[in-house]
Amino acid sequence: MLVAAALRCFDPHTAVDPLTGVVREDPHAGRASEADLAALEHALRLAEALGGRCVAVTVGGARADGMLREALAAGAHAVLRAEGPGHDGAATARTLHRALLARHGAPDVVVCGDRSPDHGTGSTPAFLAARLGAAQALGLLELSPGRQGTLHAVRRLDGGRRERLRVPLPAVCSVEAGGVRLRRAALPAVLAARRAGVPVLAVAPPAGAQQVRTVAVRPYRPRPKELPAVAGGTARERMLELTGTFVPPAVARVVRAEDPVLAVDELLAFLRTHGYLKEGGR
Amino acid sequence: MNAEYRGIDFEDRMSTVDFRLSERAHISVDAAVCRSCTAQVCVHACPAKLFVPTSDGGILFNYEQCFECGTCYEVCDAEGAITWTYPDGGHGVVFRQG
Repeated sequence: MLVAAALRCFDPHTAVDPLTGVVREDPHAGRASEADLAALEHALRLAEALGGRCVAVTVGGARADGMLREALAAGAHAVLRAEGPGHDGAATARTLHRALLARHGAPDVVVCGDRSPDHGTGSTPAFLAARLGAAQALGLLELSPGRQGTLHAVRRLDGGRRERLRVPLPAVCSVEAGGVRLRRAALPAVLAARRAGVPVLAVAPPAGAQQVRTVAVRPYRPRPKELPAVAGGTARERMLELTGTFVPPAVARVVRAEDPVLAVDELLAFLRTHGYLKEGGR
Repeated sequence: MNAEYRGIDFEDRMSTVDFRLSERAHISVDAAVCRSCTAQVCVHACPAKLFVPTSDGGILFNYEQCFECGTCYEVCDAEGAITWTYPDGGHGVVFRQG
């Protein structure tokens, strides 16, 4: 039984100089979001309950090593950092999938955070489930082992209601931040994690034919409005038709009829004049 | 059919263009010919509403916001009333959308 915690590293300490606009980033400030920390705690609990191994995996550069060492200190059996495309959910899922298969094999359960503070869309778990051929349960409040080799999950619904799910394995789950808190690591584990090496696996980008290529960059231009052609023999006649030069303008006419019968007659006459009623018709 | 072509508000149409004015007017109007014209179709046809009839039967004209569409020159059937050329290089209308 392999339980993977797919974590996302982000930098919460980005500062922008108000005068020059220069963005300053601390290369050692990478950490996991609250939702990802909850995902790691769920993965650790599932691994303990199911008698399996917990692997913390992420896609990113060397600044994610600190986050992975925190996972080691908290009790993860192994960590893995994949270097490869991670610019969107699909690319991140592909890189995670390749790295896990190459180093640890297909996971039985993958737990992710449902969102990240740096404009993450939360789409990575869905892409990952599609690649693994696994069931997916997203945005969970609770996640625990269920009966007959399944997972028991609780999801938040509108109006304060809850949805209870029985999730078959293999499964990819994403959890909200408020469900659980990551356990506090023991001091010997923290010290050992500081000295531990973080294995790195490079994942090659897909072949060129599968990549999206930017062909041209230009301003948005709406499609022209399609209008029927104007009848007319010459260009002058068509322009006069288009501009309505000889069409008399519609002038509002106010009629005050004291007698209702006269008012009705006036309305009917107007409708007949403009072709809405035939002569003598109703 | 005409109603379908009149969907664009005048102010919206004018907000999509910018004008770099040249000292040389690329359209000139012969007021004497216009005073004898009874149709004055340019008043209705010009999309920028540059032709304004005056009380003495003439036409008041301003070339500064011309779209350079040539509609006035095309619809005018009075000989010699409108002389139309393109503006000098670097001047005239600039379309800001599309």
